[in-house]
Amino acid sequence: MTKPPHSIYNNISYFLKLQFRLGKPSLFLLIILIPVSLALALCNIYLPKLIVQGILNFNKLYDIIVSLSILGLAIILLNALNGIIDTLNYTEMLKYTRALTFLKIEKTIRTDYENIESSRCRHLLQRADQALWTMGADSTASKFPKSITGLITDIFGFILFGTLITAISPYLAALLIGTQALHFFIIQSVQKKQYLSREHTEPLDRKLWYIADNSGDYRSGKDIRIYGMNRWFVKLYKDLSKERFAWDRKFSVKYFLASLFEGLIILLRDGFAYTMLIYMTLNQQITIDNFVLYFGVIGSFATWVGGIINKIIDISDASLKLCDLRDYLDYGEKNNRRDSEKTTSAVPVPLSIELDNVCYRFKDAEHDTIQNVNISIQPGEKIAIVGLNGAGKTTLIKLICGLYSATSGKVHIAGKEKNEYNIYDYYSLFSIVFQDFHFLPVSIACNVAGQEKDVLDRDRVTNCLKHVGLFDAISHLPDGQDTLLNKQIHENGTELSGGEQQKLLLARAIYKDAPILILDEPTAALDPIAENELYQKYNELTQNKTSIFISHRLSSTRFCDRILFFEQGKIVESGSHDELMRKNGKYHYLYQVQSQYYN
Amino acid sequence: MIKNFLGHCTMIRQGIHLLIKIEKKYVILHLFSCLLTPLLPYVNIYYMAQIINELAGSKNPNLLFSYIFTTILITILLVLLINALNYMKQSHLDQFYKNEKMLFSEKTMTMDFNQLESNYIRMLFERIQIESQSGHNAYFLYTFLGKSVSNLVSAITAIVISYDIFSIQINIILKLCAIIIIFIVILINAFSNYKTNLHMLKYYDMCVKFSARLNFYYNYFQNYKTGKDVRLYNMEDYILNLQRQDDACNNDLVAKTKIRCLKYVLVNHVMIGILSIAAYIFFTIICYNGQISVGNITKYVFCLLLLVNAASEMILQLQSLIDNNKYLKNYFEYINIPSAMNEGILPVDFKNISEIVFEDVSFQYPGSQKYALKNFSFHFVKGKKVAIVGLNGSGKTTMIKLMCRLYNPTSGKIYLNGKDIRCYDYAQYLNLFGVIFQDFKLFSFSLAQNIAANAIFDEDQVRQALSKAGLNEWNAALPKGIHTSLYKDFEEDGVEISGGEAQKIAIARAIYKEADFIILDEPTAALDPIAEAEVYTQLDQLFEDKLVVFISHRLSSCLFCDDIIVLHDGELVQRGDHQTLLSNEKGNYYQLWRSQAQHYRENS
Repeated sequence: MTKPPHSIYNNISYFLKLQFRLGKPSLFLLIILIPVSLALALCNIYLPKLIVQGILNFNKLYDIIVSLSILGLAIILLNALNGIIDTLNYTEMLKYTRALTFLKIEKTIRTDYENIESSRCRHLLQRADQALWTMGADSTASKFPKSITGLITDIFGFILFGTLITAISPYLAALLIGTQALHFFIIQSVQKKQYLSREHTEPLDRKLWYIADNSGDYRSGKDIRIYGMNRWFVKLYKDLSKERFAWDRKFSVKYFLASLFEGLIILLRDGFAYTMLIYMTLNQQITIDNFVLYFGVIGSFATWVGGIINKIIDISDASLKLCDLRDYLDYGEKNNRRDSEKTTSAVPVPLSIELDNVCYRFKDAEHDTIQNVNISIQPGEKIAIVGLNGAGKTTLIKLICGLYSATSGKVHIAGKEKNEYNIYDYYSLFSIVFQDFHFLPVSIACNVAGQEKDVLDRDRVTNCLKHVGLFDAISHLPDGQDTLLNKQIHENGTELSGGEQQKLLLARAIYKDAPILILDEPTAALDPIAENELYQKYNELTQNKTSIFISHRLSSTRFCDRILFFEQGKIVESGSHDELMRKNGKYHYLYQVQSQYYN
Repeated sequence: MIKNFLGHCTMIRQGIHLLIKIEKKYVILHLFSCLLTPLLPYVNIYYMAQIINELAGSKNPNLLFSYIFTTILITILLVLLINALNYMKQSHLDQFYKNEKMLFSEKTMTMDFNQLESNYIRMLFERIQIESQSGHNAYFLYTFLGKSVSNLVSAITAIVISYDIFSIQINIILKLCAIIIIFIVILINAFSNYKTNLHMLKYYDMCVKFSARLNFYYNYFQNYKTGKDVRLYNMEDYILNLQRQDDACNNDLVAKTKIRCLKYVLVNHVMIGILSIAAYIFFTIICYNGQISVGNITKYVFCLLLLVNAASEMILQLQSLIDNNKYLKNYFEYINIPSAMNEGILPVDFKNISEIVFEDVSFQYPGSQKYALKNFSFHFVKGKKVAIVGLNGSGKTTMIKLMCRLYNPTSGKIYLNGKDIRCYDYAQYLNLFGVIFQDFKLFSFSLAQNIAANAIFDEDQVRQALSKAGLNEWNAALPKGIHTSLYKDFEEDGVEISGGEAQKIAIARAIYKEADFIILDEPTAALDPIAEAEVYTQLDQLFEDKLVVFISHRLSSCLFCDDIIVLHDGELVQRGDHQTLLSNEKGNYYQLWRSQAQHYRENS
């Protein structure tokens, strides 16, 4: 096991501070619970003694009943208080976990894009999610402070009851602590082994969930039926689950053996303690009512000691899991997030783009995906980027628009280096359509604007939808532009087809109206007529903008001023369509392959 | 009333059968553990009373020590037995949950496709998930069984060890009063617990509404690719606001629910508290009068409290059992969705497959007024290549789904070798098709398993399929060859695949299947021109003697096809080969072709 990145003490102070900031009431409630639980424990033990004492000392019945009632009333009040705190804290703890979850989401949304794409950060995110996973009202994150205050309660109880026991026999106290500690170490050694075995069991669990999830996913339904994959998944599931069970079985045997020891401890501890108490009572060293009291005290003392041990285990376990959450929240950022100087509005459009010896290498990759690329794009120029699958076109786009930071070399927009811009100002320079479709389960208009309903510009949305040829189709929907997307979430929601989704992405890019327009394969899902329409409108769309167009349909390159041919992360040819055709090189060949069918 | 009762009984019986089916051993171990666990506190209560009585009485040391050792011995035995049961049970519990989940996945994999796609079924599934997570269905049933056993044991033990209570001589009215009070306390306790439960259930029901959205956002943030849109379209504040609103709404809901529950919680605490003090006082008085010995006071009080607790819990559980049936109804509705597809029994004669004929086939998606396909008739003959073209939404994919019987036509018939396809054995009929859907799926297991779509495969055949699909070189470079895992989900040395490679693997999967009918839905959308050209030439060689149906927006693919179907708004508007269709300058095909081809003409 490698050493955890933060010590337990460090984590305690970090998360208590965080809780103080995010969930003061929950912390307060936990703290007042400490004296309440201690008082309750004392009263409960004292009550039987009171009765025995009263009766055996032949006190007046009236006196016994009065003292009994007073103590009983105290117990009722304490119990009620306990109930109130519990109830309130359920809500407060849930709120606290939500507040933490919100922090995590905010991090995911605001962190550098490269971070969330990296597998290390994604791994941390997954583990952070585990720490925030809520069962009932409890998550690891909310159990952590509970265990801490619980530990404090147990320690007080330990001291209080320990003093009582030491008063009659220090040996007895030592014995009780010793046996409990021994038990703890044995259980812990099994736990440690099980913890280590997680390396084997966790992948099995993940695979099992993967099968259950994917085979139950309706999106896989067509393939599963046509290829009869149910046999495959059921077989895999059975095999893996057998393997998983064998591990569990192994540890359940170990735990049982450890619990045999627990039996021995009970024998030793209780045997000694009770014999001694009876012996002392018989010798009249203690009275019978004190026998009753001590009998209770000894039982409770064992609970306090066990509680201390269990809470230490819980705290160290939770602390380990919380390290992941903490590391995720504090994950380092590279991008410039200093105060925005609103540099962007000052620059006259269209903008120039300059790449100066830019290289990019993915983490742990052996080669640069982008190798020493130099490009100078004039303001208002229309660029096409062409190349085979995997040539690095999309990576280049991500470098230009600021999602990636170059491993070496520099990207300049309008003569200023990327890091001179505040990252949010920088993003605002681009309207981009990526290859993949993602929409929020909000209205169509909100998706186009990326804004809330009451701030968005209606006319502009309408215009954009008209531009991409979606206006008619959307007007026919029951709620028009306010129709909600995603049928699974909204009963009266709608689902758009692949072609429509692509058009919606385009509408969003037009709505943003940024000085640089980048389209990555915007026509893959469009039929020939819709594709043609986009080409016809391309000039209009790119007016007064610098634009980059990536497509496998080489017909699109014809309205661009310049074509860059990419191969293995390098520009190998560059020029207008006619120039490149005359050159008779790679572009020419690719164009021939595709156009031959149409001539 | 009786009918209602019988209905509940049937449901519960079905539920218990289901538990046994999911993981029998867990249920048995759980019941045994619940049988023994409640005994534990009584050992101490009983012997403690004996000891105190002895100490206050004749103080016989031998008897005292024998009490102590019996207590300890019984405790140890019980603890060991309970531990053994619990540890065994624990390992089966994990199985229980996983098996239950897989039971649902199996159902999802085998139910009729139209049901899978239906919104109703999907919502039903979501509901069941949430209801199970909030403690209903199978989870409730086994806890119910366990609790019933333990409460029963607890109640009986309480009565047995305090049997001597009945020898107390008091006023009969007082006795009656005591019994009535105890009953009332039990009822009130059960009632307020039930109310608390109801409020929590209402809360969980409200959570169901949130949960689909919650799941969406969870996946949205898990999928890092969405991060591109969020950043470049400045949606950070917008999304965080949506999240904030949801959180506030949810927090409010919990707070309100919990406040509503609070009064019931307080009633219970106070009532039980008063009961126990009253009992203490009552027994103290009786003891004072010399009717019972001093040790028995606490024994009786503890037994009384445990008895009240067990009894009210049993009432509560019975009520919840009946409530749970409401959820079980949904649960079984899903598990028992009938299949309409599996009615055919005719075996498919794989050796003599010749044609599939559509005769006047129309189709409407459930709940839709519009015809997705209308009066469609066509002969698909084995050995031919057919292209289907048309605008987005013209019914191309629908026709494919009807052909491989993922749906039954709304009207009209489809024939295989002259017989209605509904007559054939469904599994065998599906075996005829190798379909590469637009959104085909590959899974994070080995390459070979993905190609065979099975855990058991023939290595040579897999290699052949790979080489036919043009993946020979790629495969040779993989660290573990055909046993390399796809993606890095589970294996460090798994391989990330590009869109083009994925496409070829999907084709290899269709080749491995040796299906007679090959259907490709937009196979070249994501491919570069070279890879696209490769697919075209491959089709010619690979599937020479098969029926190939090809959907593509790249009309160049039509050149390789013997026949082209042009669909418009669900209707067949043109058919013929490329040359014939192109010669009709008013036809849809000509328009489609023109709009694409013009950009490739030099100097146009």
